[in-house]
Amino acid sequence: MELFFYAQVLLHCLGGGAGFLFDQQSESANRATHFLAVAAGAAGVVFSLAILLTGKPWIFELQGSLPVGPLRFVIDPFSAFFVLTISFLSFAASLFAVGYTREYQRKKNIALLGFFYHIFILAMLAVVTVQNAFYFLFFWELMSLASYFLVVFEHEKPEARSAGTLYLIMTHIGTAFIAAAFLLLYVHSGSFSFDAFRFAAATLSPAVKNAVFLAALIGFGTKAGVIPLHIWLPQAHPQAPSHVSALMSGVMIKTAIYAFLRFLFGFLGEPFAWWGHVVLALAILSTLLGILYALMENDLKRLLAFSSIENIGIILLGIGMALVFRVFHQPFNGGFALMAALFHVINHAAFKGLLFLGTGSVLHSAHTRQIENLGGLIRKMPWTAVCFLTGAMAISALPPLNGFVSEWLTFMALLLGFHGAGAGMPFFSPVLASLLGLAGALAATCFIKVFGISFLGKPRSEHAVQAREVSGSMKLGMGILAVSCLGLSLAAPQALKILAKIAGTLAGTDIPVETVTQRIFLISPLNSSLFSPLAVALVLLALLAVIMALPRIIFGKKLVRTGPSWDCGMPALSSRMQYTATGFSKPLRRIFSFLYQPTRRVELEDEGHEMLRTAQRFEARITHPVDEWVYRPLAALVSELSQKAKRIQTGHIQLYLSYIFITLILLLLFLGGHSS
Amino acid sequence: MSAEFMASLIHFLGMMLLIASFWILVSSQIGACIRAYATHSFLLALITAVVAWSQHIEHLIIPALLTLALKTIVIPHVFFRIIRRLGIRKEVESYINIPFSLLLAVLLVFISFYATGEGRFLKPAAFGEFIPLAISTVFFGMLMMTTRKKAISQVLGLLLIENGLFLMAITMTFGMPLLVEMGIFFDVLIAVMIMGLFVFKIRDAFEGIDADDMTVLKG
Repeated sequence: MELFFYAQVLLHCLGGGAGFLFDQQSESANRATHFLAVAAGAAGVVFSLAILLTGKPWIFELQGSLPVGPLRFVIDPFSAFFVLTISFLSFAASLFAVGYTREYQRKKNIALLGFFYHIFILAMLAVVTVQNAFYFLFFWELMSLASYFLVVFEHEKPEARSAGTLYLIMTHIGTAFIAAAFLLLYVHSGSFSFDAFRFAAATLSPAVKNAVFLAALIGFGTKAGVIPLHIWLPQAHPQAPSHVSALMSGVMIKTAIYAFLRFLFGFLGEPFAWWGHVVLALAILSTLLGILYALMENDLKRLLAFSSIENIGIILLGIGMALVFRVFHQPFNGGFALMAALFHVINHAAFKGLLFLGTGSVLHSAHTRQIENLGGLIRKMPWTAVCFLTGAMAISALPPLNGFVSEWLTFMALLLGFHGAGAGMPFFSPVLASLLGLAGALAATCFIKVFGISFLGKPRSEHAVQAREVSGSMKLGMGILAVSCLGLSLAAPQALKILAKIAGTLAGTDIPVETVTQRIFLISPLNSSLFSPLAVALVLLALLAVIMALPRIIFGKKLVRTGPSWDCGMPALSSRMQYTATGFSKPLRRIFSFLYQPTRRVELEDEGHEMLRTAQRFEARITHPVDEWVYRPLAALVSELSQKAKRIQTGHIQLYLSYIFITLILLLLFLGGHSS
Repeated sequence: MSAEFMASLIHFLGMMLLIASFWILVSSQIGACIRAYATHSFLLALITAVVAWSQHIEHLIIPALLTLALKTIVIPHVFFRIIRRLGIRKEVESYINIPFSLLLAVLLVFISFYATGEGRFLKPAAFGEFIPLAISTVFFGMLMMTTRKKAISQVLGLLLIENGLFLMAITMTFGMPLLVEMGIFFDVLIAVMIMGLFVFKIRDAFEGIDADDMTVLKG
């Protein structure tokens, strides 16, 4: 079993260097590095599944000479679950990358891309398994830096560079808070090891506990992209190559969820009620705002990045409920909420990975990410279209796909708040549940827009006309994820059995398997409802068959007639007369105008008379309140302070020396004054 | 010889060292400055030797000899050669005039005695009176680096700081392990070579070795 773990690590190490053995811009470099990544991903899937099925943790320890303690990895089922998510998505994404990276051949250094790609995956794996705060921070930083280099891979584009800088700033602010959280725990427990943190959790003072919680919330919230700490996410994720975007959105932001859970259900002991409330508030804010902004986006990858914020919100809803239940000593309900959150982690990895890969395919063959320039792709790229549709249905929480299952579990967890979850929750839990329902409906609207405008209708640009179906490896990469979206749903009862163990361990209780799932059914606590993805899938399949068959039976063979569209008597219909993405989202822009604050500008040009119009320009914008009201003033403040600080930077070497000199003298005087 | 004699000898050498430090600071000619530095280093070598002798730490003789060879002979020689090659003006250019820098220097000696005198928070192995002396030597070096205009004076200031640190090491711990000492001497020599090279490069780039000209590098 551990052989597969060693194989995974070794293959990633080899893969990182493999590209350099060949011509660094060549097909061979591409194949070497990405096929090794595929193999590593497969090894990781086998390894983590073995751990999950046997439930026995595996420990690997390296005695180092550093004073911070040994380098210790423990792969317990909780870690293994994240290893599985990372390995599985990297398996599919690497397969996709073989075809996708051909785009960069002869233009960019593919070996370098592979190098950072492998480091990135390896660092994520280390982050979710290492058991020492010092090494955790090291790997966390490694993961951030590797992903930074992947974001700025196309560094000739100014927007990639500026997005990279923003990402670097935000991630370091986050890391500073994480380091503070760990150091507070270190001061208390006297050791960097996670075991010591857990051991000392019971004796933490309330003030320290609250401080650690807040630092962890801000630090991991930044990485996870929780609103209002999300601003880097919609900028940075779209700039990376698509298979990397899939990994960043699919699993990198989940490492923050992993670590946050380690803090909440390990290092911090008994939580306070307000923690759960804060997490729930941030979660619902991220869910709603994330999807509302996704709706208004017309750039495919930015849209998906905003939707990642929404899904992190859904995961945090589960975690928030679990915290609330923990405060009121309802470990079973808490465990159920955690199961919902964890299941959404892997489900989101599958369908968001799929959607990013689908977008990568579109970008690869149509060379544009703007929805308004696409259209009619379903005829040119049927495979991509089917896969993308699967992902879109899953993320819109349509049964029988996996998105529905975990959102259903989250609903149930929220509705459990009726019973004994403290004052206020009987009111808030149905409100949160209905807001989650609203978010689901908005997500569906959003992805109807994406699929309808991009894949249906007529091509809106020359790029879309030229689009061709992508190569086999890319189809396979997407296909695996599309099948897994269905598979995770049909196998939900089996998945819940594994998750029940993990969540039970975290919540500190034993969740009997038969209380959450029986045969093909999922059961919510209190037996309030039952759901079977398999049965729903069969019913839907039967309905589909009936719908397909019925017209044939009634109308016989004369069913399909092809003819021209009705053009109102005006000949020459063009693709510009189609519904646009902006037009599609207009009703929602009006409904939520208090939030979007939309502005529009129409410019008309004519030759002296309004009947002689020569040109017409239309521009519509929405505002992002967090950017406008929080980050813009903050950036202005920092820049102003820097201008002030610049005054001491004269460029005179003597002056710089005298700063040191004066500091030294003052310190000496201080020390001398103290000791006498 | 009695311990008392040794103690007064060391005291005497310490006073001479302080005087030599002042001499470096007040010299208005670069040449005099370098000679003063050579004297300073010579006294340092003597102190090291006396410490070695009186405390019976034979290995300290080697740093003493190295100080004598390198800092008293080789480095001043290198400096004279740089001056000749550069053909720069012989006067030391300073932001503050010499009487004022003398005043500052006196103040710095007071500070170092106030802060570190009588083994306040540094606990030396022996010869506690050398701690403030070493600190004031470091201060003098920094004063030189901050107030002088020419890059060559900055290099001299750095070497003076190094002398102060060396004195500190000798009196705090009777010297570091020999290997470390050798390494430091080698570093100092290389540093002088490199800085000499830089001085040439600075002259080529800015047509002068006035460190002020480097303000144009500012972004």
